[in-house]
Amino acid sequence: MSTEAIAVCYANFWTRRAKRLDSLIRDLGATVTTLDQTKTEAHFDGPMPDVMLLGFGPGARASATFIANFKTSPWYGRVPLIALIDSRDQGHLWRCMEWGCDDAILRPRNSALLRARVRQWVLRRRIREKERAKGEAAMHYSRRAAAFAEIIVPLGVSMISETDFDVLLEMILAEARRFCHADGGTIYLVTERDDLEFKIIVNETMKIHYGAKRKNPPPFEPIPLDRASGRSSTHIAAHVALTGETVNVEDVYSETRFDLSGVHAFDEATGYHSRSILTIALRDQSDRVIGVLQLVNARDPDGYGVSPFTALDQAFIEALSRLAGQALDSYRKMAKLRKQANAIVVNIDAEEKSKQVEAITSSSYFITLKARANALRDAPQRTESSNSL
Amino acid sequence: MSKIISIHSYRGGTGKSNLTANLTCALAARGNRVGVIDTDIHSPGIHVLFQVQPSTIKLSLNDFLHNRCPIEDAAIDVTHTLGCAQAPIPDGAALFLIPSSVQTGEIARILNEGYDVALLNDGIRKVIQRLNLDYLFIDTHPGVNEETLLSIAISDILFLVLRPDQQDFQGTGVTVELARQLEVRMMYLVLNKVLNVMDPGALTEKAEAIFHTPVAEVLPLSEEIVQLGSGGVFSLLDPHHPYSKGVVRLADIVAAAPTKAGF
Repeated sequence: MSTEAIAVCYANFWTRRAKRLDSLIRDLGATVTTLDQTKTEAHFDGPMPDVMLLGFGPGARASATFIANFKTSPWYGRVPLIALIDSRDQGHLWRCMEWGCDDAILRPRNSALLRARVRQWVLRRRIREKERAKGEAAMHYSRRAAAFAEIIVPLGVSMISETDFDVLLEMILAEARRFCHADGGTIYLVTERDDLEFKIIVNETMKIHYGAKRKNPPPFEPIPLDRASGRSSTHIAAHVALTGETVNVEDVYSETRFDLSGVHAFDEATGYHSRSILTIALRDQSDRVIGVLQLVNARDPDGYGVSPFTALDQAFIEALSRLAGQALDSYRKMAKLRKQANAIVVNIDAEEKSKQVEAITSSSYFITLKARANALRDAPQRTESSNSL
Repeated sequence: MSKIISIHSYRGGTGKSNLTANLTCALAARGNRVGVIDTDIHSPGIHVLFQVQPSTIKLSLNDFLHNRCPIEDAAIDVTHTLGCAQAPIPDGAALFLIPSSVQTGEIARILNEGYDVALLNDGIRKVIQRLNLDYLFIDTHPGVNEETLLSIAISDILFLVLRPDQQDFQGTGVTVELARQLEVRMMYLVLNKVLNVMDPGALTEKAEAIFHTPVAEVLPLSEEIVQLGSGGVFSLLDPHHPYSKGVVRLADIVAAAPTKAGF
């Protein structure tokens, strides 16, 4: 790290012997912004420096308020603040440290030593910033993981117990969109004819909702899956259905691997702007692709901008798709079983029944039993000594 | 006024005894005095559900039918069975079992010599009076024979248990017709061991259309009951299971039935 890369802000609170400190600062070789002394009592609002240097000396207008404001500022608070004290009085040093300075130097005289001290603080700050960024990333991941757990566990339970296939489709798409803040999405299912059928299409901005619970099938023809040719498809959903690979398109208009002319035509016709598309396979319990989940335009949390789907989005949606695929597969199998079970023939042979009944009712025992039962049925009440057959 | 309830099925293995045990416990747990006669003399088994060890059966229905004891002496107090439920046993609750003999010699004697079915009828009357029962359940032998016809004829309520199975439906068709000719007062079908993938509504509709008889309950085929392996009364152990809830609804039907008995 060279000192040329360092930006220093310098404020001298000691006007009487400022020239000596000023000269030291000049010799630092850093980019120096000097504060207007008339403003040093107030809040600092200059450009972000790497280090803030404050000049102090006997009789200086030592500003505890300035230091406190600077160190508690959410913007500047992490900038190292070093007091340069042009005095041998240790009392000044302790006072500066008590007010909140990170470091204090008595009678700085050598610009090389000061440069080394400044560099040390800049390095220390950069290391802290990196650690902080790592911590924030970990926190972000942790928050997303917690959000995912909040979605995935109830969703898993709901999927298992859901008895309406359309509701299941709605649930899968809604939760996937919610997790990624996706503006739109589509679920395709592989049909028995081995093509890819649109089952549900939703786009919040365009107020589009086809299929599933709405009972208005998407007005699009199924996409053929040409397995025989062994070639991949240029259609993203078909490609994913054929290969099982996840496709994460960051920008629809700079994508070259796939034919997105349909998306472009949609945008042109509607005024919508498609940008990011995440397409993931839905697999059954045998790992076969049974459908495709596609999400469109990952909106920023503020709801205005659109971003690419992140690696984290992709990882979580892949996990959700795994669960969704299993749920869809289980539902289909259960529906098939239910159909078979309810088709069990439980009729009776009336002729055979009549023969059996006749054989019994014509027996003397049955005739006697019936007669005695009828005779006793009119008796007033049941007692031990009466009313026996 | 006591009520006689017969639980019958045309074929074995329908879960008839299990249902009888559960239903009797449900009614006894409401503070009633309930008795169960195991008239399945050829293949007795309901005692197992009440945790009665064969060695503890000193007298049985067989002894009564052979004039060796009054019927009430064969009654075993199994009220303690209710103790496995979480709720305390209410005051006045009593549950008695009149078992059939499990001794092979006794079973063989009945098979060889038969017995006086009229005596069974007398025994049923006497045990109701002498044990002061609110409900007497008859766990019948599957199929149609003299004692099952008697049970049907004297019942206030007849539950016919069947599975969604071609043979069960055919046999139940015969039993329904016989019960109708014997003018049984209340007759219900209980569809038991129904797969959970089956539509209970559609099955009920189908059965009622075939038999012209109301379906009182559709009970699920339960792996948990199979796992219990007749080791207890299931609905007491798991009162929130769909099977147990179905038993409660059947108990409601029994309790709500008119008390006027014709004979």
